Amino acid sequence: MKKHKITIIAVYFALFVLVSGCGIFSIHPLFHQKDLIVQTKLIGTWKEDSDSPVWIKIDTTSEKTYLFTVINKEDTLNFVMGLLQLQGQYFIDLFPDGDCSLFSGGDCLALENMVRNYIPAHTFMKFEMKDGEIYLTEFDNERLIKLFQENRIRLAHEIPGNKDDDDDYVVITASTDDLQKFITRYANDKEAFSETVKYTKVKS
Amino acid sequence: MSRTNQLLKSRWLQHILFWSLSLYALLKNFQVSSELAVTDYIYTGVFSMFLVAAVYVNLLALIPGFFQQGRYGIYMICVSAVLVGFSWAQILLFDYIIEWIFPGYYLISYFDFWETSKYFVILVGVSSLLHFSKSWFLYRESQARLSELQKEKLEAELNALKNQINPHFLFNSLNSIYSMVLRQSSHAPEALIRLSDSMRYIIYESNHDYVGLSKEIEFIRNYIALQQLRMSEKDTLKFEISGDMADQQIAPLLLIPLIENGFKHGIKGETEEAFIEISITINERTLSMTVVNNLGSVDPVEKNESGGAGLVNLKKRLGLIYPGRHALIIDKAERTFTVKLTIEL
Repeated sequence: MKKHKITIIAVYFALFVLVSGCGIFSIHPLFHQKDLIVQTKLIGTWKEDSDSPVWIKIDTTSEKTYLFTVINKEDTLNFVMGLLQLQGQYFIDLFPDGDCSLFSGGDCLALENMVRNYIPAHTFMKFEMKDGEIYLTEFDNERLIKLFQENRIRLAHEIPGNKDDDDDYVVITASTDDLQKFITRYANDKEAFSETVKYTKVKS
Repeated sequence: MSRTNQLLKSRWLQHILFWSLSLYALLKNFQVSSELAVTDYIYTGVFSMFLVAAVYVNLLALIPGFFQQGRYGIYMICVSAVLVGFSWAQILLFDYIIEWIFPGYYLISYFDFWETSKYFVILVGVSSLLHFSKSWFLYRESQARLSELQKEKLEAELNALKNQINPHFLFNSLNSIYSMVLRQSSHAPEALIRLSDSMRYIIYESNHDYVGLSKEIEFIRNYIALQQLRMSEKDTLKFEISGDMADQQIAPLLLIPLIENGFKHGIKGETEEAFIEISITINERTLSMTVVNNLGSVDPVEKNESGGAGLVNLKKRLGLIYPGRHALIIDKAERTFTVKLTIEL
């Protein structure tokens, strides 16, 4: 059963990589359990202001985390979301949810066979909430990857495959403590982030 | 001292070696990913600056200033202050200053205060131990050198004393033979042979620290026989040996000065009833020798209570070779001179 679960998690990871083209992934989460913040205001369905077909649904779980579902037309991706605050700034940690029942839009067994060698990973985003709206800001992955490739960041990581490959990605292997220290420092850099996307709540 | 040894004893080389090894160990410890990156080198270099400073503050100021003066309490306080101060400085450097020195780099220190201070404790501790062990080795070396010098000095002194004995004996014997030749004695050739045997013993055996007691006794027999050749019929000689001398060792030419002295000042003293009595007793590890002779009437040395140059030299040698293990008693009566020597072999 455990093997089945891990494989399903891998599916999400693979999809995420395929969608992103390149990315920064972490083996360890950005949070410890004690860091997690629960805000009931987040519960609901959120939609981009633009004509984007992407919806976000945030729901509670049994622990201090959220279920973060990205809905794109008929496809959905489920993540476990953790919200935390570092030096006055909020961040979310997204981790693929391994429950197959929450996955729709594909054949679990077929995906298991296809991507069984992948491992799940954490991704992070900057988070803000004001005036009933949430703002999600991704890190500028291209810049971050470039910094890693140029060895300008001292953080335990690996760059699998060919370093010159445009679709490269970085797997951060640093501990949660080290991650928090790095994100705290790096988030102060104005060039660290890409475009911010605003979401408005459409359903509680 | 070979060039390699000189090089290894070079203070600069020792420090370079120590820091090379330390930096390499730190670099491998600070390596965050599977491959060494430029950030690892920079981080190690910057991290080491305060380590170097702390180590040399301790080695150059605190140890000579307090520890070596016996002010251990103040030393411990100062060392603790240095460790805490430099650890905090290290953290502040990486939290606030490093980004100004290396813009565009994210050289974050992931160590907290306790983790940082461990590096300082280890480096300062190891360098202190090396310093103390080096001092200990230098002390041992100087002690060994001092001991060697004392030994050389002792040997030189003993050789000097022996060299004084040899000519003494040689000249006395030659004087005896000269007298025999003047008297045209037929015993003169035999005397020369005896002298030759004795000189052989002196030349080949007396260079050793110790010789077999039997050899020394044999040499004494030869010497007495040599002296007997010049004695007149009215002179009296008594020579007795008792005890087991097998496997016993003695410093060479130690007994002869007393016998020589007895002959020179007794038999040669030109008195009517000249005599000399020599008695040697070996009892387990103790040798006792008594020499009793008449006092000559014309010997200027008689005026000296402690005897002639031979006796003075003997006293020095006994003090050097058998310290606390000998007794030399000199008794000068109106007409006799008695010397008793006891040695723990």
